[in-house]
Formats: sequence, structure tokens, C-alpha cells
Amino acid sequence: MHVVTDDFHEYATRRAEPLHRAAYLLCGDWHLADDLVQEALVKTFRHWNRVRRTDNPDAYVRRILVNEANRHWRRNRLRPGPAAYPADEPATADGVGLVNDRLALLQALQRLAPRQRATVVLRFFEGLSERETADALGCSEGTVKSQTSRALRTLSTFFELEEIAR
Amino acid sequence: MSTQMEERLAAALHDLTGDHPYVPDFDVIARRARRSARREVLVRGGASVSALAVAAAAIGLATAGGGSAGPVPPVPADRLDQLAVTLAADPAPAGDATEVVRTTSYPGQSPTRGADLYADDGRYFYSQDPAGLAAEVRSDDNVANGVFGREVSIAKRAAAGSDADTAARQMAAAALDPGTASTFVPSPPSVPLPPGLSGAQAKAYLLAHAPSGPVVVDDNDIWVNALDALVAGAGQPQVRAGVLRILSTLPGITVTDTTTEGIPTVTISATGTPDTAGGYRETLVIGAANALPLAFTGGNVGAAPSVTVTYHVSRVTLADLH
Repeated sequence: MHVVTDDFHEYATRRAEPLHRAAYLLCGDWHLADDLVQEALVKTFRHWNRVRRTDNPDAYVRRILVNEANRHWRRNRLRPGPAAYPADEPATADGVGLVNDRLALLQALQRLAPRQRATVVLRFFEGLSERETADALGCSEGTVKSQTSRALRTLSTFFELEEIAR
Repeated sequence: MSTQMEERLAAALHDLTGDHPYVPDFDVIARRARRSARREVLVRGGASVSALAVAAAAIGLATAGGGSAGPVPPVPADRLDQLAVTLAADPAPAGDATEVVRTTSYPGQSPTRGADLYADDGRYFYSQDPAGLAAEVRSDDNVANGVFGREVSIAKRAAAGSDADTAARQMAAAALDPGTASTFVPSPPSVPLPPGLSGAQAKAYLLAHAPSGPVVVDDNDIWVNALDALVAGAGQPQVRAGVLRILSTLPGITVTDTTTEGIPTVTISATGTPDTAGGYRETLVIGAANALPLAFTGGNVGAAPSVTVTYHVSRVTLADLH
């Protein structure tokens, strides 16, 4: 019977939740994030014998995850974007304002171009360096710099609005 | 951009995701991986006469030179146009895919290698080792996301005679889909607020009134996306020609005839200003006769490159990989 190996099980269990949260930021929907992570892990397991021997299996998985998110975005570009999805999390004790803030940030993220969004998630959520982000995205460090700058310029409006709302 | 904002963004992103448990379904992972493995075996069996060796039609200048280009006085940007005209007349190359082996070097670290296989039909395969590409193709592990498809198409149209300035504007927006809202959002003062709104109402009003007009075009977008097209379509002379025509529209680039490890080359440099601070400059070295990408460097002006990437480009036939 074909079952996952112990080391893959350990790896996937340890990495699943961080990947899931990153996937949510990439696509804006928890259910879709389930699918993206599952697909990324299937592809990782398929090549696990090779991936586990690399210095940085995380880089492989991140690259697959970002590609999966971009592929979904491309295929569904003519449908309402993820930003149009309702927030599927209940209002918290913080009240409606907090939920609105989160939805607004999610919307702002989804307005970014896919590469900018991936750059923001990897740099500021995953905490990767510019170099690590470039490796994960398969682009140059300079591209990461420019994409980050551009994304921050757009997102700065969100934070300026936050100030207004206070 | 301020570090304070970056810290706020990081905190906001973590707050946004919160504590959301997730456990992978290992049964599904095993089942789907097994199904893929079966398919791979079937494909491999049906192509039993095939060798794993890449039957590549090497297209010359396959060995990239790093940074030993001898600088000479810059030449006009129409040097790129001249080369583009020559390339656009080249016949379609043999094969149906382009293999690009990238070697990336950072100061003080061992170089890392990655292999990309861009099929002409839009599929994309990736392996950390070139020898692994055959397995990716056999299992049809296509990881294309379409990111480079639009860039390559725009370059082809530019080579076919579309207006270079128009193509450049299209290239600037290539990462965005038509009809997608622009990433440009006006700063709050540019949108007059109706009187009497609360803070939360004001924020909602401003977000709702963000424009979805044309993307703000700047040269760095064109440069970045054109280089993506050049690499993804490196095996197709029409793509290379189109990229050169588009790059020739950029006023901020420097074009220099160079020699790299004995090979005549053309070196194209561009600064990232205003997107990046500190005088960051990127340089692309291409073959003088065929415009194949050979090397890319990035780093601050006057300092050693912070990254160097060399490219080994070849044409392959996908059927030969089965």
C-alpha cells in the first residue's frame, strides 16, 4: 500500500498550518487555501525522495504553493475575485470594526498583482529575506525589491485609511 | 518605505490569519501521488525506446559568461532595434520547448542551479537539477501559472511589427489581467470626502471609490516583465526580437557593445529608480549576434553585484524527453 513516509508525515504536519495561512493570504479564501495546500503537498510528496535531499525543502514547497495560487488566479480572473468573497470568520469580541479591518486588508492584498501579493506574503508573513523570496519566486533580488516597493506603496493607502478611521 | 509600516504590515497579516487549525489529509495525498506514479509508469512504458538524455538542439553561445565584459563607450539604443530586425527574420527554431538552466550566485555562497523548461504551448516544468526535467515532463507535472505567457505573447507581437511604444505599455501591465482593477490607489486627500462621515464610514467610502483606471506605467515594470519574457522565450528568436524592440523604447537604459569571455556581447543596464533606493542597477548581457540571455547581475552602482545569474539556453523536443 502506498502511504506517506514517516519523514514526509512529520514534515507536512509541521509545515501544514503555516502554509495554510500563507495560502489564505495568497488567495483570500480559507476553503481554497485548503485545496492549494493539499495540491502543493501532493506534488511535494510525489517528488519527496528528491526534495528531502535538498538543502531547503521549504523553498520547493513555497514555489509550488505560489504557482498553484497564481494558476488559480489566472484561471478565475474573469470571475469575482477572492476579495469579493464574504469573510468566513465570525465577528470577534473586538466587534464589527475588527472584522471590517481584516476584510479591508484582505481586499487590499487581493488588489495587488499576483507577484506583488506573493512577495508581500513571503517577505512580511513568512519573514523571508529578499534573497530567499527571490529563490522562492524564481526571480531576481532586484525584482523582489521593486515588487515589494510597489506593493507597499499600494498598501500604504490602507494604513493611511486606518489612521483616518481612528 | 518605512520599517514601521513593514512591521505594521507583518503584524496585520498575522492578525488576519489568526489561529486557523489545518491538518493535511494524508490519505488523499498518498492516493493522488499513487495515481500520478501509475500514470508516469504508463507513459514511461509507452515510450520505452526513449532515452532520458535531453536531445537538445543547442542553439549556440550556450556557455554564459559572468562579468568579465570589457566596457567600451555606450552605443545608441537603436543597436537593439538593429539586432531585433535581424532576429525577426530568423526561421522558427527546431524543437518545441526551451530549456533554461540558471545558475545563481550570491557573494560568499555556493552557486545554486535551477532548470526551467518552457514549452511553446505554455506549459512550464521546473526542476532543481536539469536531469530531473525529463521526469517532470513524463509525469506532466506542469506548474505553469501563466505568469510569463502574456509577456511572451506581447514580445512576439512586437517582433511581428506592432508599435514598440504600445507594446512597451502592454508589457508594463503584463502582470495584470485586462479588466483587473489597477493596483494604483489614490492617497486619501485626492478623494474628497462627503461631510459628516465617521472614521469607519470615511474609510469605507475611500476604499469604495478607489479608481480602477489604467495602470500607472513606468519603465521599471517594462524592464522587469521584458526580462521575464526574454528568459521564458529565450529559445524563440521572435520573442528575443520583440523584447529588444520593447527595451529600445526605454530612455533610462544604457546599451554597450562588450566582449564576454571572448564572445561578442551586448550589455544593457537599467536602474531601478524610483522603485528601489540606493542606486540599484540591473545589467543584462546578451549575445551580440543572437540576443540570447547570458548573464544578469544586480547590485548597487559602484559595488560588487549582490547577485549574478547565468543562463544556459537550449531548444528541446518534448517527445524526446518521454
